Amino acid sequence: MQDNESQWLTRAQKGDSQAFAHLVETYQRPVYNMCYRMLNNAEDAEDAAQETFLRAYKSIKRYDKNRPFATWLLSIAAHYCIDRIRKQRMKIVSMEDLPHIHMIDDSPGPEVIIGRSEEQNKVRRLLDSLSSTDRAAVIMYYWYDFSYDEIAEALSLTMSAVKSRLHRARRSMAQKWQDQSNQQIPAERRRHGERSPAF
Amino acid sequence: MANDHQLFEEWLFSDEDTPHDDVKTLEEHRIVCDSCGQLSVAWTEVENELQFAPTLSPAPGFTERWQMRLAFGRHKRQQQQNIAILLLSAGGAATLLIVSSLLIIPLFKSPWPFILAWIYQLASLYSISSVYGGALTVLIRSVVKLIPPIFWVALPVALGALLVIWLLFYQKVLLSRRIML
Repeated sequence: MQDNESQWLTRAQKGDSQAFAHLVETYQRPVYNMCYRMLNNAEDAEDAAQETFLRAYKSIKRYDKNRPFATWLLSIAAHYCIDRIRKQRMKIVSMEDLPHIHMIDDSPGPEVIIGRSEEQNKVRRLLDSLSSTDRAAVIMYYWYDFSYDEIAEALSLTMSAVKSRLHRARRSMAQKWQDQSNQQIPAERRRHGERSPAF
Repeated sequence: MANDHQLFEEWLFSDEDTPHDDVKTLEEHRIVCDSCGQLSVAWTEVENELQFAPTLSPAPGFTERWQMRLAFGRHKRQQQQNIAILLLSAGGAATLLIVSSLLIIPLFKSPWPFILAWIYQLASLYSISSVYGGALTVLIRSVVKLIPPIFWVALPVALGALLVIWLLFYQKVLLSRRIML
């Protein structure tokens, strides 16, 4: 597999698009997942993943073979998504101002396959509460097992910045989780209260 | 007490190893402090959610869609290049047209000085050529008188012989070598 990848990379660096297509086939899942977790929308994630591979193809000659290809690729994806979120935030008023229905993408896609479980929505909301760079750091740390060093390299940050961003993100997510749980309990009480006099 | 909360949070959200004694103190704090206890539970649940969240896949045919997108991008780039070349050519042609118009338009306003200058130039050229032509005729006539009549017979014969030799050489040497190659 590694040998194949090395061969594909060598051929792709010489301009062979078919060889690069093999790399697209191999890495489509991690790149798509990164884009989906960053953008919270299947359509945007597909577009961002496609764009990531196009950008990677265009700059494949600059890729240093001593570096893991996945790190390089996910770094492109993360930077692209961060830019996209910033542009969206400049264009649209605010993500928080959007009605909740927009946050839950109802177009048929892979999220339909895995099911719209409440847990997934919770993860989605947690990630959405973070800034784009913090979100990228969390995704790289928890989904791809990147080390602090790798995250720092991928996001063009220092290692101490990565540590402090992750620390801040963890605290923010825990507090958000706590708030959600606190909101859920009275809501459930109200719901049960309407049906049953026991509440 | 506030300092304890801060220390507890530092410990809870950090990956760094904490000395054993500190861990013991912080564990005790968690039992005593309600808010830190709740935060700790919340973080454990969040960590679980993150660790068990699946890796999502794109819809089937992702690579084919990428290849189509790449081909479309190339086509678009080619079109843009063609348009750029067309615009550059049109710009060049327009510039040439403007410059030549600027040169020609004054002639249309008053063409007579231009025509007269050209007539003068042609007349001068004719007079110069007639002078040189007369001198050349005199020179040829005097040379012809000096050369013996036998030379005029020998000259075409020699030229004919040279032509035959050249043809034979071309046929036998050069053509045969070309075939061999």
